[in-house]
Amino acid sequence: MKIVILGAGRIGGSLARNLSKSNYQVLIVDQNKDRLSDLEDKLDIMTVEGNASSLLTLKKSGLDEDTIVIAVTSNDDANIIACQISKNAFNVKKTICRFKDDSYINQLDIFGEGIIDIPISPENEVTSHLIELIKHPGAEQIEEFAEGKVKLVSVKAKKKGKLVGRELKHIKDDIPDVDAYIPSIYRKGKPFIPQGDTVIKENDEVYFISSEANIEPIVEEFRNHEDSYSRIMIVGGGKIGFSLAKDLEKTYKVKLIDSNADRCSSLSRDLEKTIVLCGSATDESLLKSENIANIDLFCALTNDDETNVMSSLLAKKMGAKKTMIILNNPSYLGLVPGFIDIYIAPYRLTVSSVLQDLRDSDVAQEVILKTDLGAEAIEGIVHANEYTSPLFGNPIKDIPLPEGCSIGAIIRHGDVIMPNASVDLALNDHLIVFLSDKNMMGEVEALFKSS
Amino acid sequence: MNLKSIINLFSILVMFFSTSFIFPMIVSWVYMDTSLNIFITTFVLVFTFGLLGWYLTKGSITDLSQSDGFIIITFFWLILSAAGSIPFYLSGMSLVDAFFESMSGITTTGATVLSGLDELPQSILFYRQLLQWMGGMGLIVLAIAVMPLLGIGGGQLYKAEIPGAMNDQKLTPRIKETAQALWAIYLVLTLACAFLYFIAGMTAFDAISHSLSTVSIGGFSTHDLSIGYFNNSAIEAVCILFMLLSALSFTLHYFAFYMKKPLKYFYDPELRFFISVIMLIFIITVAINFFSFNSDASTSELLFQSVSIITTTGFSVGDTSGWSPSIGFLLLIGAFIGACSGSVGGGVKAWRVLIIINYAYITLKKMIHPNAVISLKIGTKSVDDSVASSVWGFFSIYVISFVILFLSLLITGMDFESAFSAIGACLNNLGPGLGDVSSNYQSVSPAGKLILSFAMILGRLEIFTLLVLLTPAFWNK
Repeated sequence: MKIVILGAGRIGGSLARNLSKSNYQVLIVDQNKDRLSDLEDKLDIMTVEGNASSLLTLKKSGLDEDTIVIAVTSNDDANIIACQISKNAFNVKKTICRFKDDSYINQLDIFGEGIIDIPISPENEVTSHLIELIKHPGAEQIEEFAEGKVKLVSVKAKKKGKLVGRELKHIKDDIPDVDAYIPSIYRKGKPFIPQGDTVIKENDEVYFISSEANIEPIVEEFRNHEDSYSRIMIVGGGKIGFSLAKDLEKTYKVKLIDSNADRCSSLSRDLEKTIVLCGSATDESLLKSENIANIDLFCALTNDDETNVMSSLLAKKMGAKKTMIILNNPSYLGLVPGFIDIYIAPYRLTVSSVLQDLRDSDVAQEVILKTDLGAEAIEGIVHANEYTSPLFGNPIKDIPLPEGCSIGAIIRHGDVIMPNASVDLALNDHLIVFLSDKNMMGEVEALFKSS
Repeated sequence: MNLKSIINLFSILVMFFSTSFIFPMIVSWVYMDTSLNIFITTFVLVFTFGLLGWYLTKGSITDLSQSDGFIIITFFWLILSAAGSIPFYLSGMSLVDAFFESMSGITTTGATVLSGLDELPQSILFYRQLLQWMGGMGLIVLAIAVMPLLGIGGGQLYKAEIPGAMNDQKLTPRIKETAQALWAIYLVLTLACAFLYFIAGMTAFDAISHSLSTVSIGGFSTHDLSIGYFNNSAIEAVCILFMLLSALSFTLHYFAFYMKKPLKYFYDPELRFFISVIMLIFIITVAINFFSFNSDASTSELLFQSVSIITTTGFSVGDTSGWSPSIGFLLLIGAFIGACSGSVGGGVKAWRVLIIINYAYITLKKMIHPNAVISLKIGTKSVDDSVASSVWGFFSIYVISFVILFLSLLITGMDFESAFSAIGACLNNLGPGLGDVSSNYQSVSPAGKLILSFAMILGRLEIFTLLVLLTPAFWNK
């Protein structure tokens, strides 16, 4: 399938990287020649230099009925016009449009009916992900499945956790009325499927699946109780920093640092309770005067990875209890564990949501668990029935999965079912499958094909 | 640099190459000649070698860096020439001769050390033609087209193997599809050429054999007299047509075949320039021939020779010894300009020459209008100054390489005219030269043959890929 990506910025670039590796034919358009030649050197893609919203450029990109257009330039207007041109002049198969201004998202028809098929808003996705993590201290990663009914949470086992040093089955004794499913544990970077008699060790990364309400008690099984945050310092007053502050300022005490004076004054106009500070986040005296030692969570959310890392290290040294950053450069992801408590690769979310939109199969959700190791979890809906698939109606254990894959949980009519050997596969079951390597995706996907 | 994964890739490519010995085996079997054992031995030898290398380094393939690409390309061509020389060696040639012949085949040069071609077994003759055909579009490009193994690194290899700075970018988003399209066009041209040769009066064997060396701009023939053996103007016309087609940029063929835009042929500035060069040189040779008393070339011979030499093919239609010497020299200079970029031909490439000329013209214009801002344009498209300077860089290295190789050939004891033309013919992947080397290279000393082999691979890989391996900076990491 042919995909034309408009805009070779961070989002466009990471989309191109992921899509070209997933066997799509990728063509990327940008006005910046250096960016294009840089991408073309690294990836097996084609590039076109030109303005994304001009008819001429789009013609040059060879749009046709089978093409999918992904408009992800940093300019909303250009994205919208590009989608309109591609639909009206070239009748493309699908358009995906990035919006910075989220006020349009619920009324896409104002641009013409069926012009924009899928709106995406990367900054909003990042922000809501951050909010989720802030609401649940202790959890390192939270992913939603089955439209938010079920969550996949990762937590790092700490010495004081109740279950650490004990067998996994004792979790039932501690919290008898809570259901938790633990499909995978990473120990020293290697995944394994835990059994009832697995002994939890310190620093294990435990993935569990539960409902929203049960996250808290389960997290506490693995690490000492943590008070929820109350003082939060945010660095970077961009789109993400601003919306985070806006959302959090009602419940938390929020301070926001930005280095641009004009930006600060506009932030202070739009925010109510947040204290807006103008200055550099790597300025020791500023942090000291703002009483950094009292801060529960230090969030560095600028566009600049180096600023994020350095300011967090400084804040940690000066007494901030926890640090959280966004990291754009994938090469850094392997470096920061141990120095930074929580780090997220912001555009990973957008990439996985776009990937889902593009898939033909019935994979409803796909999340990347470990970018460096390529581990993923997917939620697939079983569309095969007894006539099309020999697997149907048989016990789960008979499903031939490639090595390194395991079924984490089954969601049937909104309820989570433990993947016991005795459970039979049924129509419309949602399976959450763990893949230790995303290259197995193709094999697993075949399971869900509705044929 | 990862030695193991490089060896692994080599081994796979060598195994891939070894399957090509099956075709001469079939020819040998059909004609019941004496060389069947030679090809079976070679096939077993090369395949085992590849299999062994692959087995010992199994599972170590990783992504290739750009510098790995240079190493792989250069050594693959060397290994290929070495492996390709085994059948020649087994049929009784000396080691150096066999290597020279194989290198000349695979780089589509067409210089030969053999004489008495008409007596050789058909399978050996066919094998020579096949080598040229495989070398023309490049075996690595073929490997990219048919095998899934060369992921991103394939792009680096592809860029280094397709001759000529591609002034257009990739044809399709996937390198694999680009490679497939190029080979498909190449195959169609070959089939069409063979068919027309057959219609024009060649035997089936000659038609297929000559189509392989025509479309690859190679120049090997199955007869000592080359195309002149047939003495048939229809065959000459077919030959001229396909030499020209193969010397055009395959990007244009792609647009005509796949995108249904044949009009691109008419608007391409490089193509126009290339055809004008051929016409100009042809007209000058006719004039020279007309005005000099001791020159006995016919106009049709001159046309054939102009196309054959300037496209760097190297076929001939008759005895050129009675021609004015200035004609041979003029044509040799034409071969330096060579074919279009992105074609299978050799030489500096018309596109680069076009840029050099335009750049020089702009410099002159700036002397007249000191304040003018003039951007370098080829046709209607402007070209970056960085492109122009890299073209100048290429050209100067080309000239320097020529001079150094020429001097070293003189040192081996060759006369001036032969040495000059031999290096010119080999560096441009042309084939026949002037003087002692006008029909074959038998009289060249072994050292001279090695120097010429080096010139051929230097020309085929467009100098930079090979020279970068000779810089200390490449290895000091």
